[in-house]
Amino acid sequence: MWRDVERQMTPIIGPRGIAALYGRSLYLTKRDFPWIGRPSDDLPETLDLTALHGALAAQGSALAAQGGTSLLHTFHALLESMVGSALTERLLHDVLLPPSSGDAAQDSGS
Amino acid sequence: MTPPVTLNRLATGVPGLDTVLGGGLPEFSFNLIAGPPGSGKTTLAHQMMFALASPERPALYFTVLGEPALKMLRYQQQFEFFDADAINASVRFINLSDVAIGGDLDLVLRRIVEEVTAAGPSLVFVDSFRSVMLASAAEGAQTNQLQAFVQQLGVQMTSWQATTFLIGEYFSETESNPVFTVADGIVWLRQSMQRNSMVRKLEIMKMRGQATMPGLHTFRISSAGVKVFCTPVAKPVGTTSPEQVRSRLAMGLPRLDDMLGGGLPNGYSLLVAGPSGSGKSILAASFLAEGERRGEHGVIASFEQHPTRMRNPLLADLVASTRVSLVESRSRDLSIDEILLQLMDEISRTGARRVVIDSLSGLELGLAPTFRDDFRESLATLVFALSGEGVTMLVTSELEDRYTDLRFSPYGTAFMTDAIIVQRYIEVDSRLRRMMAVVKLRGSAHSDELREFTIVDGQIVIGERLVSQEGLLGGRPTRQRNLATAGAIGAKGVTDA
Repeated sequence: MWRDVERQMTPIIGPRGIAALYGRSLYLTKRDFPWIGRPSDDLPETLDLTALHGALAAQGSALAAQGGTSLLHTFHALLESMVGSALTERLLHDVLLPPSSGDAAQDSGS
Repeated sequence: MTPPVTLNRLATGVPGLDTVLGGGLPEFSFNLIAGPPGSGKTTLAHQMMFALASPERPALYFTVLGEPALKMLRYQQQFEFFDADAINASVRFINLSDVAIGGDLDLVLRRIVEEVTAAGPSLVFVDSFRSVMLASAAEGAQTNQLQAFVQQLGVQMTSWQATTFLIGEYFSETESNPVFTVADGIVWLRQSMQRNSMVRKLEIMKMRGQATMPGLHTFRISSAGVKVFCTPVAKPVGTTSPEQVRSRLAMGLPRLDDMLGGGLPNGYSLLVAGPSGSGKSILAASFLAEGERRGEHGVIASFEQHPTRMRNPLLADLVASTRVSLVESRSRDLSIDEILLQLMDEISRTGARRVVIDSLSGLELGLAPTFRDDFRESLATLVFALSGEGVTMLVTSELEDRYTDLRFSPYGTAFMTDAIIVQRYIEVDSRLRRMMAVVKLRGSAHSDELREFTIVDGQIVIGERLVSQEGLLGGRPTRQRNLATAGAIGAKGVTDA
């Protein structure tokens, strides 16, 4: 799924752009799913999913599905907040989001 | 001899720009859009792209190192021209920041050519080109390498039958930049700040293959995008023909028509000058009302700063009846081009024959400070352009009453108009009374009388000559001793200011 997102979005916002959005999504999702991991301290040049795969594998399948879905929805909501829902649908039209398992995490700290 | 190749010209979708370009943008041209940050380069590029792109004529938009693509999409979609449905269909964005950051121009060029070869676009945008140059400078690239890159890009894009735009920042106009030589077209955007007003201007510095409109053209960016106010080329106003002078328009005041020798000649411009409250706007309203009675549409440009005190009841009724169009502005950053274009649009939309500008003082106040220095020149542009349209024009102008010298117009504008009517206050028997006179009517005989007039129920009522008074123009007339010589009073011999 994330590779689909990467394939769709990289030509438009570049690998660094994708990596930055992914990092922010991780940060927002971490509050509901602390095990999901944290953004890289470095400025990643590309989308690195190794840590995510490890974190998901360490959880039971139900919780892993919940956390993974939440992360995707957060990414989607983040993109929507930037460019609106119409353009988000347009940019991610090939990526089918799994049904939401709850509200996407919001940054209430700011 | 075989006929030369026909340049297909594309309609840019930017109001006014095609006219300034001299008929649109030549297909397959290699263009540069330059200007400082915030001058509207990306907006102009997007507006053209969404207007020009179609499934048959797709566009590729390369973002290099300038504005992050996500932000660009966020802000550009605020404009009405932005079409989300076109994204990834007729419009594709391609991010080259990772390639450009390395500073290898050959690699950047190769990636552009690869994408262009794969997609076969008709339109290619590279935003921003300055970042390409900076990236190359970081690598210590020589000027000739950059020139080679631009030349290669130009050759490739033209060979792929793509109309190309390089969007660049901060180029110095005086700098001898290799890009300038290679480009077929250069569109330069500027913005000038003076006091609290900002005026945007656009110049076509170069456009191969066609004659463009020279000079700076003001433009605005609104939610609809960029709109260029190109000054219409004034049609030559021929010499006044006897037929023109014979064909007269009624002013709505029969006595004034008599003073003008039968009305205002068709197509003339008339300046009505007088002090505050003397009745200039009422005279203008009567001129428009008479047109409305005769089934002629009118246009009034109003620059009053207080909307509630804006117009007299007669004018309000005329505007409400839609027989008179109101072009109004309370803005303080106008350009003459913008006002003229609004007036011309309204004239051509309604077929108006009578136009009023009320007043020159309000217009001057509405102009951006940068245009006030050449107000006289701007006025001349306005008057001559409207005269070229063949409309009959009445312009009001506030004129301070000075009893020590005779003036008929501010700004030395008297020579621009064909006719002048002056209104003044005079003191008679401890009362402030009004008088008016026709001081100029080009190519026609007119009355030389100084007539008293009153304002009754918002209408001008012209009375008789004040034959018993002399020294009227001094503001404080005295009773004549010998009434038999009263006929000597007049404006004869007075020349235009």
